[in-house]
Amino acid sequence: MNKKIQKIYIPMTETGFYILFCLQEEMHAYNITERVKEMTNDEIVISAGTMYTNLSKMEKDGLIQYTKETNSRKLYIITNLGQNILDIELKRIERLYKNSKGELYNGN
Amino acid sequence: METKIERKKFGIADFKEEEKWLLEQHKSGWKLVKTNGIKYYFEKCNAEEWIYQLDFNENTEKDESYIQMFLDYGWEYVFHYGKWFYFRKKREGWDTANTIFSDNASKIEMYKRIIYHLFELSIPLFLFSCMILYLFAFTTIFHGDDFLDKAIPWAGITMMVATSFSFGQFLKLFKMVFDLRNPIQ
Repeated sequence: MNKKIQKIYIPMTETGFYILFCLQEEMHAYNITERVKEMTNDEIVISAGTMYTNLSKMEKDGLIQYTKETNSRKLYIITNLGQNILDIELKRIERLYKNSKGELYNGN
Repeated sequence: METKIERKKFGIADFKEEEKWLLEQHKSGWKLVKTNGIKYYFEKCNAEEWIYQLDFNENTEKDESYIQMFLDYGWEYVFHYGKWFYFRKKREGWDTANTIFSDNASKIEMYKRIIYHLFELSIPLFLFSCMILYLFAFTTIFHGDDFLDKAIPWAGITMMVATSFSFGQFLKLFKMVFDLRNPIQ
């Protein structure tokens, strides 16, 4: 695991997390924003420029890959590296959540 | 179709002011058609509140999916001038729909891209002008009588002045990044 990548992406921004999480399924930019709106009761609405910046950066760092283009829309999916990073971040969020509820985190 | 031309100069760090100015123009019934950085071409339109957003995109190769993405989010693509892409949309209900950046991290990334670009442009120019002026001041080079000997020191001074202007733009951009990272309560 590239230590540098980990340092950059852990902890993730909220936007980054939701984008990477959604891309466990193949989709394009606007799909992601709609899915995140649905997941978060419209509380998180990712804008076009933010989405483009995040997708470009994640693609460059190898966390996601471009699969195909249909109607001028690029579709992306998470890579193995991206999944590894996401799993680390999910564990971190789990720990945060457990502690916030007064539970001790036992490493699971 | 009624049109007009306005002359206006915005620095590389003045895009927020430019967005505001374009919004005001549209509110007065003039929508932007295009610009070359000095002249702004407008067309008559309905006086409505339209938000203008500028993006600084370094991918110079034609990327249709970039523009399509913005269209999907409800933005109208006006045109692009160099690395600057102009988008507009009629004001909508909620906040993040009216901006192209919904979090500070991506705003900061944009400001950083502009800073790097300005750096790449102005630092070589600045160093070159320093070299010319140094040679002029401390050596006998450029002290002759022919045209180049007269013109080059002046070119050096002009470059120096231009890069000083860039310095002000750098400061503004750094302040913009600083303000986002340290919001005043």
